[in-house]
Amino acid sequence: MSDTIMQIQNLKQYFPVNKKDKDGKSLFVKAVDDVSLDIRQGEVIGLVGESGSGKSTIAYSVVGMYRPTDGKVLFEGKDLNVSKNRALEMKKNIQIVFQDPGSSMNPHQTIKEILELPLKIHKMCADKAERETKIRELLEMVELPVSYMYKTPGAIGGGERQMVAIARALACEPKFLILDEPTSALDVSIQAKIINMLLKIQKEKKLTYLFITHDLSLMRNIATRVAILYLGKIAEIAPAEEFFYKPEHPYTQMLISSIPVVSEEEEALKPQKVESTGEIPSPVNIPSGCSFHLRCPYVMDICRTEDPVIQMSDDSHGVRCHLCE
Amino acid sequence: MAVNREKEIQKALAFEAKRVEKRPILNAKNNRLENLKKAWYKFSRNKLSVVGLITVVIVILAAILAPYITPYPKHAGAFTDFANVCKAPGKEYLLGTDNMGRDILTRIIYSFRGALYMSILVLAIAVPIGTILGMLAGYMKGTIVDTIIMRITDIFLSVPAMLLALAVASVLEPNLTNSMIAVTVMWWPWYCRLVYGSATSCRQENFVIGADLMGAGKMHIIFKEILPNCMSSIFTKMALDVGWVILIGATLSFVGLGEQPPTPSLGQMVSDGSRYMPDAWWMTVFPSLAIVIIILGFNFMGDGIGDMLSKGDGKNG
Amino acid sequence: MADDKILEIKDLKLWYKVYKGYSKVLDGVNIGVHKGEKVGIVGEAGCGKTTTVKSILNVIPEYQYIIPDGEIFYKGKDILKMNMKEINQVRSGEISMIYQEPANALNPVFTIGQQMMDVVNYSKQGKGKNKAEQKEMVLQAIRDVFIPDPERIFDYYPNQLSGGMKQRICIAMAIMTQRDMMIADEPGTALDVTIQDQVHKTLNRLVEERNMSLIMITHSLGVARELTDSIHVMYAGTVVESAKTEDVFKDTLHPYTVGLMEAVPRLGGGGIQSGIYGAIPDYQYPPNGCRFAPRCSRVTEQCQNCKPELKDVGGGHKVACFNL
Repeated sequence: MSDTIMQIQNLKQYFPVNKKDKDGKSLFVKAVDDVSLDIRQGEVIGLVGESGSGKSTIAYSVVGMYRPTDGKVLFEGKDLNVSKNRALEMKKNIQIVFQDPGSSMNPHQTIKEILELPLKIHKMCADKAERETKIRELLEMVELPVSYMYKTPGAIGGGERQMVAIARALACEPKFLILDEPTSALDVSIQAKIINMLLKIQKEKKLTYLFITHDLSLMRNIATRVAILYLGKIAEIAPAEEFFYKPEHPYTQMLISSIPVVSEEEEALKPQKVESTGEIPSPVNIPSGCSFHLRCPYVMDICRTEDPVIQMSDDSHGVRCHLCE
Repeated sequence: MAVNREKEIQKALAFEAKRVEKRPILNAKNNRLENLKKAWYKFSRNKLSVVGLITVVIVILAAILAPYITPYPKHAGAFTDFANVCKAPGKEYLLGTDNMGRDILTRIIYSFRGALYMSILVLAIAVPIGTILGMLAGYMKGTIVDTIIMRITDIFLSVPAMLLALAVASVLEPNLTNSMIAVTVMWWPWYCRLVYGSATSCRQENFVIGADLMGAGKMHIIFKEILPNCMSSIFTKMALDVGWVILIGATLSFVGLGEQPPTPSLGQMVSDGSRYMPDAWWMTVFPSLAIVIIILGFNFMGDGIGDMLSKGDGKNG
Repeated sequence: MADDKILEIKDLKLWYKVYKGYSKVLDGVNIGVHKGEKVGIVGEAGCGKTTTVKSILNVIPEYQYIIPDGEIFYKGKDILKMNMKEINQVRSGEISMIYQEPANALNPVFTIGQQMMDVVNYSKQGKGKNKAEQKEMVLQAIRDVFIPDPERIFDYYPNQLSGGMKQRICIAMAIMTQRDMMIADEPGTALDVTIQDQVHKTLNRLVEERNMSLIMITHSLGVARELTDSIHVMYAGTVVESAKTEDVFKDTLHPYTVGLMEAVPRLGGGGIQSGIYGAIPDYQYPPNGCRFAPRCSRVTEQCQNCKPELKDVGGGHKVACFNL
């Protein structure tokens, strides 16, 4: 497809742990295990999963924090990890917004200095005056007062800090933005504001978002496509709407039925049969066969021994489960 | 207790009734002013820090203005007045005179000069060396650079500091400069360790990772992102260390490896005076007291600086 | 009706001492809890939910705050006027608390068993019993929160357990001695949704079985809807709306609650409403009138000058707003 902006091909990300198994082989945390994903220009793709599912690791691999153990990440057809250090041009095009706005900004710098950095690195502005105008524009874009320039991150609220983080990520005009749980540390009223702003900017600048969250109902409202991760593997991937009306993987059903909701209509949407049980196992010690079989209500014999592969039920809806084969 | 609570509530209500909302207009200058005010509020919450600051200011002023405020400026050098040897404290000589008939007050104030000069120079050399090496090792944690720097630091730290200083000072000619070199050699590893610790924890913060992902250079990350976050612990340690350097200097000159006579130094005055104990007690007691006061002053001030630079915005107590 | 209130907070005001003055965090909080009732306190970060429950247990260091006004009646006695001994009695025998972060609530250097035995030891029921009886109480409590193999868990250290397990242990500690009231401060927030669901269900069942009163602090309206009988919505240190849970969701009245409700992303899709404009006020310089006035869409001149009282608009549904 010509409009594919990013291709993640069989991405594997293993981290060694200081332990050995019985045979003396060293053990790995298989944070991401064989994930493939095509991301199209202009879409908002959602990655959902519980803690330990590897959703953040995918983001960090894409942005270049880790070198993949195996597999490739292609951006506009070019492999991102050819040399050890990624080209500045690539760093400019792919930006990330972290979950915790408190730690993502240097507490000893003013907002102005924070926003100046990407402009300086990527030589976006000719001189000081132009930079200052650009910073004003950025602050206006995220609907913050211009006088905030002189404040430090410690002096403003969490929501406002996240707005600054978004402004910083957008300062160098990237094409691809990774949002790693940008609102999970914030209140709903602020979350609503930030999400709406993000969607507005996305439309204006024709950006592509990789949106990571554990909040499925938030995902429902912003993503065009959603992928559910369980222990480093994609369990189900589908367009957002289909996902909630026709969840097929038992894990997806369990997730959706666990969400606390605020209205009767939503209650009706939940699949009733699946009661949530058990906990996500440690990624060092992944169960044999299908990694979900310990918690699955429909577990069969085959699940204990054989790992299912992802099956595309139609063009866009893929499920990795023996039930759907 | 209950009465106190009642009073506090009354005070608070009165304060609120009188309060007029006055928020400063936000611009670069006002913001800096407000930050200074807040810093002073945090510093001055502990009364001892203020006492320390005042002591330190007095000591520094006295050292600078020594020729003008001391009663007998001449007595600071090679001067003898056999008519007034070992005079007890009195009107003429406030703190008495020593075995050469020199005024002890004058000599104490003059010795501040050497002590401060020494501690400032030692820190001015040791702190940058330690900080830069520590940041480098911390930023490149896990590489060969880290290993080399930190093992060298460990070697220096494993030699008893005093012994090292004594060794260096006795190999070289005993004077102020050489004792400074000796102290510097034993001082920088502490800063290296301290900064290494802050830098390694800082390196994992999202803002450093973020700057790296954005494409910022190594120099920018080390000096603009990591360094400011190490500053508060460096400054706190520096303020505390001034006192310790003075103490080490005094110890070195007590055993005769520091400042050479006739230039006055506190350690040497104590050492000289000890031979005349207990008859001429003032010869030992007053210089010793001076050492105690200087060190306490710097330590109290150091605690205050620590409070001032600590995180938090002055809330909660 | 008014007599069976086990806890009643009346017009509580609490100010923290800060740089250059006082931070007026609580400004007239009124909350009543009946015996066996499950009460939710809902509000955003920084609206005084946690401060309110901390003042119930009197755990804020004394030099940090003053209480210019208000009373907290627990079984007819004012907690604020109690001496240390009486407060300790309430803490050890009457009210238990569960915290948001289970990792910090358990001491990492003692085993689960040792920590739970301590709780038994200091309680009314456990005092005077021998070791074996006390241990049986602990094991029973662990069984009650659906943890398999309690004997094994008894000897575990907290770091050997997952977050969900730790939170269950905290619940077990809170319920194992007969108490009349439990305060739960966002017990599921730090956990994943599926685990959160399990923890909430366990908590709910145990509280109902034992006929305890529950104060549930949460920022999530969805959680409050599933777990509580009545809800108090707090904004900036005041209760703005309090009613039976179904009334709050069916007939939302206060503009803040309306805004909060709209901002929740829905499972059915359809985008997210705009949220509420602005931020929580600076408690050092709060607005003179209604504290929500600067962010409110229905604001009038009256709102800016007078503080609205919490008034009953029928059927026990109370709202603090002039313009309904």
